[in-house]
Amino acid sequence: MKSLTLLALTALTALSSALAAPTLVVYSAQGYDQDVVDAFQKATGIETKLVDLSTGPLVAKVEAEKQNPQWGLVWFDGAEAMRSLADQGLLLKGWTPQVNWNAMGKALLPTDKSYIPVSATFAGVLVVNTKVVPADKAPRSWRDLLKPEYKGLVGMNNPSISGPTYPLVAGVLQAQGGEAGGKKYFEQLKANGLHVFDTNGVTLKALYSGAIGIAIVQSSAGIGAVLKKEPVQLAYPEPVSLLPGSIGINAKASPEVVAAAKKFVEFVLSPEGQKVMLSGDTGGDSNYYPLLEGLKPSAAVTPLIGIKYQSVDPTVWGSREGEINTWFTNTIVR
Amino acid sequence: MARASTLHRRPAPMGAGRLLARVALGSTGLAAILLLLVYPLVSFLLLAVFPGLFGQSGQGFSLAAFAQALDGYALQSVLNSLAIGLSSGALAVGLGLYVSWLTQRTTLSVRRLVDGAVWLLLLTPSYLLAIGWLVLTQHGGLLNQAGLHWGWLEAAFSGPIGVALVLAVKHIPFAYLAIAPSWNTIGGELEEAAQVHGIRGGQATLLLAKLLLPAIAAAFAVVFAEALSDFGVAATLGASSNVPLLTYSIYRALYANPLNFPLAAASSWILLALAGIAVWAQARVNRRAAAYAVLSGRGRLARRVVLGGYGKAVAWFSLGLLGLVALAIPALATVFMSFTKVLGDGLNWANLGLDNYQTVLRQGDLLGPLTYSGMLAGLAATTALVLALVLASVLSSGSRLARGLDVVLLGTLALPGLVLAAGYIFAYNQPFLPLYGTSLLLGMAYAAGAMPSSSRILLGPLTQLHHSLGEAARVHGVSGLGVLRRITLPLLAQPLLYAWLLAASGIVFELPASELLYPPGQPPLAVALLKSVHNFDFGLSTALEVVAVAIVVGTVWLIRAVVTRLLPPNWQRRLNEQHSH
Repeated sequence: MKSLTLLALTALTALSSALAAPTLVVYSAQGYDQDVVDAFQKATGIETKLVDLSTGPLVAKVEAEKQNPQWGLVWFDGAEAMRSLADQGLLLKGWTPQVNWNAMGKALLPTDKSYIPVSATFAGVLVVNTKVVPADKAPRSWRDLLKPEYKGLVGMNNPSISGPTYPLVAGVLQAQGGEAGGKKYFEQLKANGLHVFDTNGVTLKALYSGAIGIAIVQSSAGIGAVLKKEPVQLAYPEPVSLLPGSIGINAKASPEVVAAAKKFVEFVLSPEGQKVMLSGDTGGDSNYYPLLEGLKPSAAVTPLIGIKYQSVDPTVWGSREGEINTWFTNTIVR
Repeated sequence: MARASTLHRRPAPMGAGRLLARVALGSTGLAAILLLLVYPLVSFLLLAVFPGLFGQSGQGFSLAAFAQALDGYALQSVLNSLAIGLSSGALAVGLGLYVSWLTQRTTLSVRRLVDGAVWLLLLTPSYLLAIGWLVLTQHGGLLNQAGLHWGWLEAAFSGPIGVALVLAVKHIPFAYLAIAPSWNTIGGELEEAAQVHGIRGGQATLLLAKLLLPAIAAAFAVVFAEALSDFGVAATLGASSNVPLLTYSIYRALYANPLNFPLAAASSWILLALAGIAVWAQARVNRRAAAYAVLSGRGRLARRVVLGGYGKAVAWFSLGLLGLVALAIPALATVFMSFTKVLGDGLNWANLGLDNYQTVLRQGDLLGPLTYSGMLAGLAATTALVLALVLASVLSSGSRLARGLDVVLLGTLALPGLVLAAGYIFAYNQPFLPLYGTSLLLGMAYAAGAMPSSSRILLGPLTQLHHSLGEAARVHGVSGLGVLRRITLPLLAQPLLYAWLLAASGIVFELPASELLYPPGQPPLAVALLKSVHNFDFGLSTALEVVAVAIVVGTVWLIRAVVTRLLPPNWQRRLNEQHSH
């Protein structure tokens, strides 16, 4: 009985706080999000509350709330899922902050301005366990991975489970001249003993234990492995695909919340906000390429000089995601 | 005459009171089930055929999701789940039968040891078991690094056999707890009677098996449902060895882009249908078993088998092996990993150290989530237990309502927590019920998740608490409150304590509802733990898990010790003990 009373009291407090002045609710999957939220709150005085989850549950929450959205802005890596939210009319269109974008930033800005890119990593780089594949024998290109010397040594994630992997697959398809050529490339990879694991975590574990020698994973995860002093080195096969971290604003939010969300985006893209992002998660997400003129990535990040990258157009590849992932699961995984 | 008439009249108000109490009890149980389980689950499950509900993009009525759920990867996961549920159910029941025979029917003094191990195993999340075995047996794992290349073991654990084995081992406690009390209901007289009638050897074993059949069926149904609903093993061992299971394909449909709520709902229906098979089979067995019904209550103790030297050796060896497989090996592998500095540097002394634990100690921001989760777990477990007690007493009545309730409870046991959590969003993110995003709703989801298994655990002790005991006491002039204080509570105190501890410790680590329902800015422990190992730092994540499990097991042990000391001696009764002892 006592517990029921307590539970009811908790409910009442929760309800009354829910009815108070609008606060900005941030749904985010970024490693540095808590630091950014704290700094933003301190700088602006706007009460900001965070829901931090990995991309899968985060997007599921947003979609399940469609009828009655509870979030002010949503922030994660991967343009395709953001595109899908935009196409469902969930994101505020037509606004971008006035900032000095660099070339990478300009390449990532969506034409309908339905979300704002604020960082970039690479969707798939090669992380090589040098105990299995000696550094001087490491692969350099996508074609290299088909060589017999790497048979059974290459691993990657399943795009239909791991969020950042679809941009990698789409990027490889694009780089191999389109869907047909790209699918053939993956079939050749499979014939060369490609291992497909569900997520980054499993793939990296297999890499560290030596079960595989080469993992194709997101660049920030690879840099994290280097920083943890795992015996690995990175290679950037030509071309690698950009994976933008973006923010979308709730189209249905009240004007007050929209104004607060815009301020949040402006803060994130300010020198102060970028400083927090670059230092908030040094072992992981902080290892990104800034999209603003004059800003440098953290010291651990490989300089862009010599890396050939491409951007993967979400308006082209986004709508094909379901079909390509199903093909991948049924043809490459099994 | 006058006295007789008062005596005759006395039961009437008692009966009315009792009727009122029963109606009140029944309607409380019903309301709880409806609000906490049925409404959110049905909200979610309807999406399978009405994909446009709750503002989703589908339209009208459609069976397309079922076609998807019975095709390709999804179909493979249905077949795998069925095969693995059946085999792990059979294995767990076989082992539970054997271990309970050892503790209940032989002179082997392992009762305390086995009970301790059973509770430890119940408290251990299934993914920890799976990860322990994975760390050990995978290619390049600990065994390989120690120079042992046992291809057969690696092959077994990177396929369906490993998945079934881990699921079976994890669920032995359910089988054990369901079967152990039944050994006692088959009292000594029965054996003597059988002997008098010249029934011996194979025939006697057959009779025994028939008498045990209801318990075996109940155990199998629970293990089958639990194995079907398990997500920890499916997401670790199953996923890394390409053995897709139904819960994992539901997870994929919900969490992978493009997400597909109708497919997840259709797969959930299939999961429910599979669990339904188990419920149906159990009901059939029970109907047949009615012919063999024996009333216990005052049965004499059966004679215990005196094990010889050889028998003892076999028993100890098999128990040791079981303990090794179920607890020691996964625990050692996990602890070992938590001491490893750099995973890629493998097995050597220089690579072991306390580094990960030092990092854990620096994670001061986990204290808030731990307190929040601990508080919520306490409240939710208490609520779950009160409701479970109500449900269990309805269940033990054997009425039609009870049978319906049994189906609902076993069904929810079979659905992964993820489905219930997603259902809570659809059901309670409504203008007329704006509870989504509050601690209250998270607590409700926790209580709802714990309720089905708690009521199953309490069902055994409650069934044994024959109502004739209460009636006898009242005839002897004990008041209603007195019955509660002197009979019901003493007999139920220990099972209630254990069920509460189990529910609370499960809730502290609960992930899917925590993720989908937590109030913004107020992360529960499971969410905070995930966040602090954001960057695939496996050594750190296992260290965190070891610390968290140690804290919870320590707290459980402490609460148990304190409560046991406070309880009067005659209230202290172990969960699987008969009151006829």
